[in-house]
Amino acid sequence: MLSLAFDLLLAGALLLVSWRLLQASDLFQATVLFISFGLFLALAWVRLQAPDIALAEAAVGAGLAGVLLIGTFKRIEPQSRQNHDANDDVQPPGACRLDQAAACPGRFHYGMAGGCAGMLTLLLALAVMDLPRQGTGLTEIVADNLEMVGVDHPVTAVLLAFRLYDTWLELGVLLLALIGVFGVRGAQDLRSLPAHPVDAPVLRGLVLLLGPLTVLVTVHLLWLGDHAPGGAFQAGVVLAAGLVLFRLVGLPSVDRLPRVTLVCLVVLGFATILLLAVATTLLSIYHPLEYPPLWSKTMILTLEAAATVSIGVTLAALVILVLVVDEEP
Amino acid sequence: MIAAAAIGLCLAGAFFFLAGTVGLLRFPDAMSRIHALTKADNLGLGLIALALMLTSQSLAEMLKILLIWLVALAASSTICFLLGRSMQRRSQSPSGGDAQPLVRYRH
Amino acid sequence: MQTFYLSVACFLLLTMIAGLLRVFVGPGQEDRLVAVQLFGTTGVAVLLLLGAALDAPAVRNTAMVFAVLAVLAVVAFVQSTENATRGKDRPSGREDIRNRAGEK
Repeated sequence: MLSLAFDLLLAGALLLVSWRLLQASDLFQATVLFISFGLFLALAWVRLQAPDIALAEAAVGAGLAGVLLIGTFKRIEPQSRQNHDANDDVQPPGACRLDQAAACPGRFHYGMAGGCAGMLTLLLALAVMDLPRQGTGLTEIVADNLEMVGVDHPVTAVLLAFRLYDTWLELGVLLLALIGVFGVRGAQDLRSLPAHPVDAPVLRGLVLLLGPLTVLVTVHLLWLGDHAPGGAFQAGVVLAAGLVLFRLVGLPSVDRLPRVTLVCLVVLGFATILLLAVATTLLSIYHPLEYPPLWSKTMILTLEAAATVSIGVTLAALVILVLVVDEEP
Repeated sequence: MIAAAAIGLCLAGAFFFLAGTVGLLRFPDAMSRIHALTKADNLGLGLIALALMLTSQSLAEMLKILLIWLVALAASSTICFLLGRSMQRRSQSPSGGDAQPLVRYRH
Repeated sequence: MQTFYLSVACFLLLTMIAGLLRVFVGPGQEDRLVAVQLFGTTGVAVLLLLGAALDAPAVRNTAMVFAVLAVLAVVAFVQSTENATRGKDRPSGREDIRNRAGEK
């Protein structure tokens, strides 16, 4: 009864926030609403008994997404304010909505985006309808084979043993994203950007307190991964958030790393799994990407640690490159 | 006995959260609204954390809750200082200030 | 006891929803940010209560992540505001304040 009330309140809050978010004409309000949406969403994941996703949502939603959105808002803010002052009738691009005149320049894109979103929703709905009515999916199979892997948490077993291939390719996608941004911005931009040290000792003190704490939380989540919710992605995002925080207050972060070190750290996760793949393929006793059950716990911790470092450094580099554009003279 | 204390602390914490929200909604300007964040809510979180520490099962759990509260305390007081300073600078600076409209597009 | 924790969590969620009103009406950017930070603190409390009510210790880690990372958005806001004003019309924030103090 009470938990139903909680769920209804939470669902109502999510709907209210997302409705206002789409309605808001003030971009800053939309930004702030998106941050609070992430907070409510993390609560919803907790209620749905998906603590792994709740952790990831908390780290991404409260940490990185907020920084990215506010940084982007601050980048476009002065420009649009000048437009606003110069000529009140000129409509800045991006303000168009589907319910407006056909002359609006962004209309076609909005139609396309709406169409794609509709198609995706339809596909998802079909997929959900296609699910078997009874049964627990693959939960039982995973639970039966858990001791083969040597970890106690089923999510970690799936991500780093049963479906290691997926995780590997996901790390590849992250790597490609950074290569793409480097292609546009230039890898040396990361290091040549000026760092503004803050003139607030209070903030500096807080960051010096939070810095070791983010490392502690990172290692804790990484270690927890094999028997409880946690693991490489969550730990990596927390690490990235700590690195971004350091960069924001002008302390040394990924931007001070030598080029070779940066590249090594970024490819570490992908390369470790690649090495495993090559080794298992050549040895031919095992299937590719299969590892001996005896070593699996060590292997999983090693792979997770490598992936954490890569995810942390890559995400931090991505966010910092996006954030610091406006510091150019 | 411990349960009664925990219930009392929880209720007191909930009261301070309510006070914080009322302050956020009813105080006339941003500078005074900051008080709702720094004082009422941190006290509310502290009382609830204390209640949960009383009913926690292990020492490690207790210490973790204490750490969470201390971190939240340090973080939100710093945030308020930063926001207050930012507001002060904007209202002093000749080009900005809260009186100016935010980015607002026409429909 | 767990029912009680859940009811307190419900109440805190209600105060969060009421606090959303401040995000909607603003008017300043800082007003909205203050409201979100208030949600952050309340959210940590709700997570801690849920962790106790549902007997899910993993939820406490989520609360920890929230508490540690809550500063990030505001630091980004303050830093980019300062960088923008620093680049535009003043050599450095500190010097400007000193000049103004001299005028008075």
